[in-house]
Amino acid sequence: MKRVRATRSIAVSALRLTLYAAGDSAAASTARMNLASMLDELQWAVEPELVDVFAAPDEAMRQRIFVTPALVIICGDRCDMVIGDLSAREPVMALLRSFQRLSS
Amino acid sequence: MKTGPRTKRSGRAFAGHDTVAGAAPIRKLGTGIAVFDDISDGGLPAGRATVICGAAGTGKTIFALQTLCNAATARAEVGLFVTFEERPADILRNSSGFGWGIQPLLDQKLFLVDGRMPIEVMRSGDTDISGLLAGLGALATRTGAAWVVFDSLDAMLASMQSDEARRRELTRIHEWIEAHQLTCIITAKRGPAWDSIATDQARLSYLVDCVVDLDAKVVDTLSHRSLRIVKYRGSAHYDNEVPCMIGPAGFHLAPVVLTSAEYQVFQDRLSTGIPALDAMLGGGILRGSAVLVTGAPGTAKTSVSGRFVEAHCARGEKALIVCFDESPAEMVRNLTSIGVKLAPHLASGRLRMHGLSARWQSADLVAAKLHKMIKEWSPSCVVVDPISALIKGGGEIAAMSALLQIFQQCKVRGITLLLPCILKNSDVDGATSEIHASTVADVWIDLSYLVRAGERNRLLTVVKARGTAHSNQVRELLLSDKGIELTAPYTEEGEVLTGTLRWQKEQRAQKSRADAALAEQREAVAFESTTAQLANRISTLQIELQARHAAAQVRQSLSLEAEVAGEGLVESLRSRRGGGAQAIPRRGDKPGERVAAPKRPRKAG
Repeated sequence: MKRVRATRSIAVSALRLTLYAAGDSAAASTARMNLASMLDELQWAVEPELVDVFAAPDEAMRQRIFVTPALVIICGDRCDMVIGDLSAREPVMALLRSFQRLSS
Repeated sequence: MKTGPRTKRSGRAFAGHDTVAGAAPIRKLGTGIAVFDDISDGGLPAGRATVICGAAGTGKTIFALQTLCNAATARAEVGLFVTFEERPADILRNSSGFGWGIQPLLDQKLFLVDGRMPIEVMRSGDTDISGLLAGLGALATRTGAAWVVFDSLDAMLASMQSDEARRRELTRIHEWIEAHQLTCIITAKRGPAWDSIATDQARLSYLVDCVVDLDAKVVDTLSHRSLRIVKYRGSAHYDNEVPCMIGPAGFHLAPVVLTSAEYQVFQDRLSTGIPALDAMLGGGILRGSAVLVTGAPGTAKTSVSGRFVEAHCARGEKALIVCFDESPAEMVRNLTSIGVKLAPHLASGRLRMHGLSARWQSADLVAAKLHKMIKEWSPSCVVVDPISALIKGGGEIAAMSALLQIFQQCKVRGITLLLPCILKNSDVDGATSEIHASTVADVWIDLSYLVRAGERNRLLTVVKARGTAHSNQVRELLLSDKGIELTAPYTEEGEVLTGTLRWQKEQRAQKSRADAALAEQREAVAFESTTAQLANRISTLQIELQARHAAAQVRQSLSLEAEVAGEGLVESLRSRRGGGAQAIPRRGDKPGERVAAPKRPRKAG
């Protein structure tokens, strides 16, 4: 039996969107661009954290980010990860939408 | 931070594989897996990638982890182990039984990194492993690592979208290990993801310097593992399959002795315990030789080798008997019945006996066990009874390989090796024994049966004995509670006989000689009497002859007298009749010649 989460009690600040990318590679820039455009489309005013794995390798290790680019969305207890340059938009959009609903 | 080179640069074993003249030999790091470092002539290429390829369960992870543990223990080299498929906890648990001392090394010299992809992860678009390499790079720098292992890289590559992406990632890894100067081991299962890269030979050759293949087959219910260095760029290496196994200490290869120059050579001869056999062998068996004793079942092979061991131990030396499918206690009891007493030597510790099963373990495993026993205890004589049982452990090829291993180990240590062997067909000329031990052995003694005239007799022949002038005769072997004996060489004419036939022939020969002697005697006696008789006759005749001679002489002298008397008469008559002396024709004058009578004056008258 699925528990229905109370959508109102979760504060916006509990949501974290982090994009881990490898420097300035093509995949990294593509992912950043895609993410920005998707957030735009959803009209979701959330600032994604951009982490360069080359600059902060220990952080990446700690978070077990091995494959890049990786988008990690944490909201309260729920954590999801999308790997890749986000060029397949639809599934990512659906995921983002679900998080958006959760956080608003 | 980086340890110095630990290399074995000698290429003595690989005469035909010379590196380019003037090129420096490549630097290698030893794996610590004994025979592997020999066949790779020093270990794995330092600062380069080696791929260990094989089906599931062939020991790739064990090989890689064992290498890292050995490097950490022996040379304090730090290693990073990245697993892409197996859980780190499982890896640790599976290797804890090997006694590599892995626990104290963790997080000091050995770092286990969980590189697995989380199960629930959405994929959108192309990915690469830059993140991993970035993190690993930082870790390597921080810890001063010398080694990195990518375990089951094929699992990671399988998650890539395309072959092109896979190749790109492999190139990325290659550049990364070059940049960080790490020695890298990649383990990979064969499969569609890996094969597509592996078949791209040009790319793989560029990226990877050494490829090692692990194989595990099941032959006739027994498992055979083998390792092969498929390629080693820039280095000589042994490129045949080497049997291996995963033993209590981990990955373990069968010992490969590459040059026979290491064999020990002796001049002294050891007695076999059977004086007549020693005589046939020119004084005994040369120490350090391999002796093959072949024969059908029941022909006393074990007896002959048992007697040798008894004599050997009596000399104060150590011996090891390995028997298949017969218990050592049984063997000792059976040998006692022919006067060979092994029990006292067992008690004194000079003799050790082991019973092994041939059917339920592979021949390679048997060879490995034997090698271990020899290494631990250093006997100077080893008996493997019967060596032909190795065939049960995986077939002819495995048996031959195991035999060669045992043979080489003994030759290198100067151990005299006795190999009783069951020949299927008892025709020595036709069959070199099934496991080709006859070509390898220095001395070959064949025992056989001769069934004839209702009897079964044992025969012994020395088929060959290298370095010895040996007897070529077939001798009869007799077993009794007083021991083993060989009969004296058969010296009659014609076919060599054995058993009661021989006894009969000898009796007949004796009798005929006696008869001949008797006949000779009789002849001699007869001869004597005849000659005596003849001598008698001769003397009688001689006397007669003498008598006649005498008589003839007498007659001659008488007739001469008569003649003289006759002449006197004639003369006196003439003179009486008034003739005067005249020349009287004498006898002896020429006949017919008239002597002119002297002129007489004419008488008137």
